[in-house]
Amino acid sequence: MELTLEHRTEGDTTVLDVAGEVDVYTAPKLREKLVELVSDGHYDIVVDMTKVEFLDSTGLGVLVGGLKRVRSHNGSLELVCNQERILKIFRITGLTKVFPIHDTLEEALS
Amino acid sequence: MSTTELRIPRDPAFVGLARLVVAQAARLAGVPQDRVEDVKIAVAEALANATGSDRFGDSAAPIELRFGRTSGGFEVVVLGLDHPTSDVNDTEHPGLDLLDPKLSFTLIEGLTDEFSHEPDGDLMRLRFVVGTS
Repeated sequence: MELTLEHRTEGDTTVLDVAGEVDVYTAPKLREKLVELVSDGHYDIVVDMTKVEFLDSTGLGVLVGGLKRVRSHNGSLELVCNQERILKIFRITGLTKVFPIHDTLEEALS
Repeated sequence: MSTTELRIPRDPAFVGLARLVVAQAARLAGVPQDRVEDVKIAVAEALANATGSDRFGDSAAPIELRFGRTSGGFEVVVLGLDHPTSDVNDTEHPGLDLLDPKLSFTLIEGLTDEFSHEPDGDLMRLRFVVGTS
């Protein structure tokens, strides 16, 4: 039930590595991190979700909020996710049309 | 139906516990692992509205989950839920960017084989079923 967040810079892009479970209890931590990154001037963000073990709609809401924030600075927020159990949630909610989702980090950064 | 009952405080910290317990019960009932993941999400979605409400503290009624194998599959009933509202501007919980709470229902419906919800006094009860084959 733990959530760990680490970020690093790859060229002009900030990569946010998310590991663990994103639910109603841990989602505020992810939100705070995204708010902090945008406040610090990171407007092009790739969220690497390959180590996310659980995601529900509260997590989706945080990601949508992050997308809105970077877009207000003409930035971008893209996702890396190759787990079917997570991708399924984006598909059911229609959010695959909202977020660019990549299979690998290399693809997201290219 | 061989039913297990679980009562949890109306506190987000306990949603993960409920997911784990119900997921294990689903496995024992013969739900395939990929569908167990669906059960976990459905439980989380059912509880997110309740534990995101302002009914915190010892005086708040706990949420009750009843689950087990039935002839139709693995059934989960959740009682003591608040009705989802359309107000996504949650000023009491500014730490969350909320999507439409009814999105939870969209997810539960998309992930399970049967889903229904109905008033239960001032609150709501929710039921979903996932097949075991």
